[in-house]
Amino acid sequence: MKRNWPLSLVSGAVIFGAVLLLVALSYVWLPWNPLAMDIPHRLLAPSPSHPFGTDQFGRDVFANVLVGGRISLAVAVSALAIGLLGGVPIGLFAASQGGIADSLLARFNDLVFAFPALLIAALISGVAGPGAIDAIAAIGIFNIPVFARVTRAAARSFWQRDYIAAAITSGKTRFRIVAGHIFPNLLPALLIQAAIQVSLAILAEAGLAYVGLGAQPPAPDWGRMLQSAGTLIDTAPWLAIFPGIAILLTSFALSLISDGLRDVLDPRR
Amino acid sequence: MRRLAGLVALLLALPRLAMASSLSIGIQLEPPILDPTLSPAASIAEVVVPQVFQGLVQIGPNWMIQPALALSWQVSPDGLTYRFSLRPNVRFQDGTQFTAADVQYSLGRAIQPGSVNPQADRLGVISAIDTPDPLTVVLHLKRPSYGLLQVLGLPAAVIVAPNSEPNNLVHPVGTGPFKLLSWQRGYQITLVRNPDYWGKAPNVSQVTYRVIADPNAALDALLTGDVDAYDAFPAPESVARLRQDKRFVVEEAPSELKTILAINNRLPPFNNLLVRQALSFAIDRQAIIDAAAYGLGTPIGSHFSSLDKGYVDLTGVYAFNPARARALLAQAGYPHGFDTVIVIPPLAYAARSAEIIAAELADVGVRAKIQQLDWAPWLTQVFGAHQFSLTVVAHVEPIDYNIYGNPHYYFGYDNANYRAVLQQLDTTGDPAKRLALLGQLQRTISADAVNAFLFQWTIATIINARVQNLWLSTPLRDIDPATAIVTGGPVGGGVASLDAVVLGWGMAALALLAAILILWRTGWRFAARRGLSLLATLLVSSVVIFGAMQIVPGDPARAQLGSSATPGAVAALRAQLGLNAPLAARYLHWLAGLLHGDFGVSWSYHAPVAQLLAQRLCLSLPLTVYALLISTVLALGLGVGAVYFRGRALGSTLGAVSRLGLAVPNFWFGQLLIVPLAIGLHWFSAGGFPGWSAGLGAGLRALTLPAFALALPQAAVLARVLQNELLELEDQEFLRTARAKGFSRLAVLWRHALPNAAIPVLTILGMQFSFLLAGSILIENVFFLPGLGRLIFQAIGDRDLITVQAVAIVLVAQVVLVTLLADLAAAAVDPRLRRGTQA
Repeated sequence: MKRNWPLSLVSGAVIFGAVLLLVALSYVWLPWNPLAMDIPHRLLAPSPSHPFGTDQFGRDVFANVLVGGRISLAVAVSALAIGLLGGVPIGLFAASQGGIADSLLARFNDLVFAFPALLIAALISGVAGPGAIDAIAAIGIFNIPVFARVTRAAARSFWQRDYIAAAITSGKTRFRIVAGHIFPNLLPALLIQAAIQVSLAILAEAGLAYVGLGAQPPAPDWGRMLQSAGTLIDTAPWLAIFPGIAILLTSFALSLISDGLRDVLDPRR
Repeated sequence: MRRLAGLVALLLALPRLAMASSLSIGIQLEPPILDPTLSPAASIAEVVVPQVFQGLVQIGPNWMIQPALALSWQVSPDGLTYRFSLRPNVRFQDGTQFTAADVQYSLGRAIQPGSVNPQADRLGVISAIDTPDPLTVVLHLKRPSYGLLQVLGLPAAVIVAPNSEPNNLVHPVGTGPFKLLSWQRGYQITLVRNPDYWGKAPNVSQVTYRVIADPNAALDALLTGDVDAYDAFPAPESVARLRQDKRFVVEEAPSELKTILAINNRLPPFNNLLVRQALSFAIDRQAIIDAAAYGLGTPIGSHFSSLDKGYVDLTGVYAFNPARARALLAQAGYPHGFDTVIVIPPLAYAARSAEIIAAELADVGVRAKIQQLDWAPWLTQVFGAHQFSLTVVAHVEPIDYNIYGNPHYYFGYDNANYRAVLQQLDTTGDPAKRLALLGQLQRTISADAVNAFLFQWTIATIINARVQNLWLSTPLRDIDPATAIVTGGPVGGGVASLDAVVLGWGMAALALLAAILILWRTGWRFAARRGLSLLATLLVSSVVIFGAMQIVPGDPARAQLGSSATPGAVAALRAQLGLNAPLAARYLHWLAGLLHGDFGVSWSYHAPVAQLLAQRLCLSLPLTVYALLISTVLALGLGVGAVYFRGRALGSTLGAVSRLGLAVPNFWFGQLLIVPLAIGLHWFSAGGFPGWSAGLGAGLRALTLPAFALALPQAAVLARVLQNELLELEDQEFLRTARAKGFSRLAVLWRHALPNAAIPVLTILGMQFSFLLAGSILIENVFFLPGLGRLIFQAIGDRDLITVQAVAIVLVAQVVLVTLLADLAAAAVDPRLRRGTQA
């Protein structure tokens, strides 16, 4: 049977794939050294040699956008890993145990959600100093209850199934049931949520970098580029436009992918 | 919380005096306190000297010593006695008479052992102060000091009255043409005309200093008229554009602001002269001036600015020469360079200069990482504890070459020869000899490459064309509000806006009503259960917040007292603040305080935190509510529209808009909105908040763009959820029945589908609230709004942990409250939820 892939998944994958490709390319080839300052040629408008123009220090904006993508993706993926590694076990445990463990999970979720992520990042920066680590930690912490909740919801519905009851009566340990039966069936829900969370993480990292809680200079960073572009927005609008579009496209592509995945993987539809 | 509410009402209803004309001036840094005799921070003098405080003499253009509180003076032939005749009929702003006893008190306090006066060193040449009559002061010196008159004109030597003294920190009382009206921490300081001033009354009746450090916000504030002038404009990249704008006058003047790459002379490898020289050779000063200061600077070769007497141009000594730098490094034993860290304070020029310096140093093999610190840690770490290798900082004090004679100063330059020349200078009266000695000082520190001297700023002060006579340009300051005249049209003011007060209380009443209705529908049990669990969350959050505060490094007592505090004073303050009590006791004490509205006293603002919170909540709460309203309306439009027009182009477009809206960073959106709507069309303000006393319309105008930027991503989320719900519902039986009965599609959607869809939307709304709050912190930065977000950031930077604790718990409480309300509202609509089954 020929599968009709939803438009959202295809377009999202194409855009995100392009972003990934460009970021990967940046490790092998860059048109200019993004850190090389060329002050006599600063604030140049986009041109063939500088497709995105140059910034206030003469650095090529295109190269900086490419390299900035590394940080954004690295932070988003690391935060995702934290969320998965922390959230999935908690959710599985709560789903399999039920009762008190379950209510504790709900309380834990409430607690983490009560703290705006920016606040967590600011507090971490007070302890550890500003840097990409703060962003990873703060966004990661926020991801944990999200995945815990998704895991718990999905796992719970599977626990009720007949074949699980059969497995229990036949003597299989809870752990093996979880590992062998429940876990593989969680993957669709986790995948969809992962796409959503990475999309949100891109935005969050940009916001944190905008207020100085992300990667520090001179490492290129989309959010920080937007911050320095503020006063120059009418003399050099390209400085604000291109990093902003980069953030928008990447986040948008990921949210398209999550929609598409939902269409494909969600059995209810 | 009644105390809070009372404070809020009081603030909202404060009537403003009818104003003749007022002037608002933007400044970069907020003064830590308002007494210049107790702290070296230059921001203090910017606001109060000579507006509020005056000294015996003042320094006029070209370093001329002019009379101020002293009418005339005589110096004895041996230079050991100075006799000042004081101005009669001068009163302090609290009504007390100014006499010689006040001079004796002020200067005496400065020269006492243990004095924290910034000029204690130089004033220490005074051995005794006599007051033969109420209008005569005699200073007896230990030795002749030719610099003394100049020092007496510095801000640290202003005269303060004995009985006002302890309050001068936050409520200064001096003899100047203005007196303090109010100080809104983290936002602005307002001075009003002193009706009893001894001299010429100022033309303006009120001067407001607004603290705007962010270059973006500073520019916007000028463009929208939120400030009439900006003293030492932090966005030099915009100066060119402002020069061409007829609405503004750009005044430029060389300044005393000497930017240096300070080197810790104690630490290897920087204790090696060759290494320090290499650093100086490696730096292209002109490039830094071009890129960080946009041309508004002049290179310097030592710690003198071109304004200083005896200035010698030593910029050629270390002209940019990377090859020479590499050779020197190799000679010093670092042929492959070395790694180091440049620590910077949180100022735009420091960040920009440091980036360029790091790139230039990398070129010669010195691989420098940049570490940004907030002010409190910078002062503690760099200035106090000397824990740094390199730092970029600007010294604004004039004639401060004496810091190179202090081996305990942060860069640790220890040269006995230099100290000898300093001593000689102070005891030499002959002008020619003085010039020679000053030259010698400069040559010494240049030859020793103590620091890499970068450039002196050309200060650009931007003045709105309707303000005349503001520009003064003396070595100590550039503007004089006392002589300023504001022309053209009445400025904001007038009686407090009653409509804002009414609206505020009306909304509170409505909220209460809604809460009662909801409770009545959901039943007490459900509400109590949910309420209790969320209360537990709040309690645990408070433990988490309190715990986090204990981990954050930075001694609050030290931060409050400053870098020059003695260990004894720090220990005493710690005991006083109760910092030595056991953790549990301190936590309970804090909790107890919270419960009756006592949030503690802010260490950095010297004011009750409850007061700060009330001021900030007056902005943050309305902004959040406004954003929620906008996002609901937008979501309704987008969501319902996407479903109603489904299958058609408009429907797909609306659906796509909500998809896209999810991915837009709200601060970027805000940035982009400002240019056309605020700066171009002047429909809205581009930043700042005039306060509700300026009128409901003005307040809303200031909040509209921020609320819109905040609302967009939230609206997108809500629209998507709404859309999904409505789509599912449309196909259901009960709605098809309604359609069959003859209702129009829109009516069905509106009256039947929507209420059902409301449940998940309400739940999502509750969950989204913490994102909204996080977003509001970013938006407050873009639009320079004095809300809770900025408060907590400033407090974290200042290590003002009491304020951080308080704001954190208020933010968390907001989220918890909204979550509770959303859950209750959803349960009120959908009875199935009341059985307490978890989502």
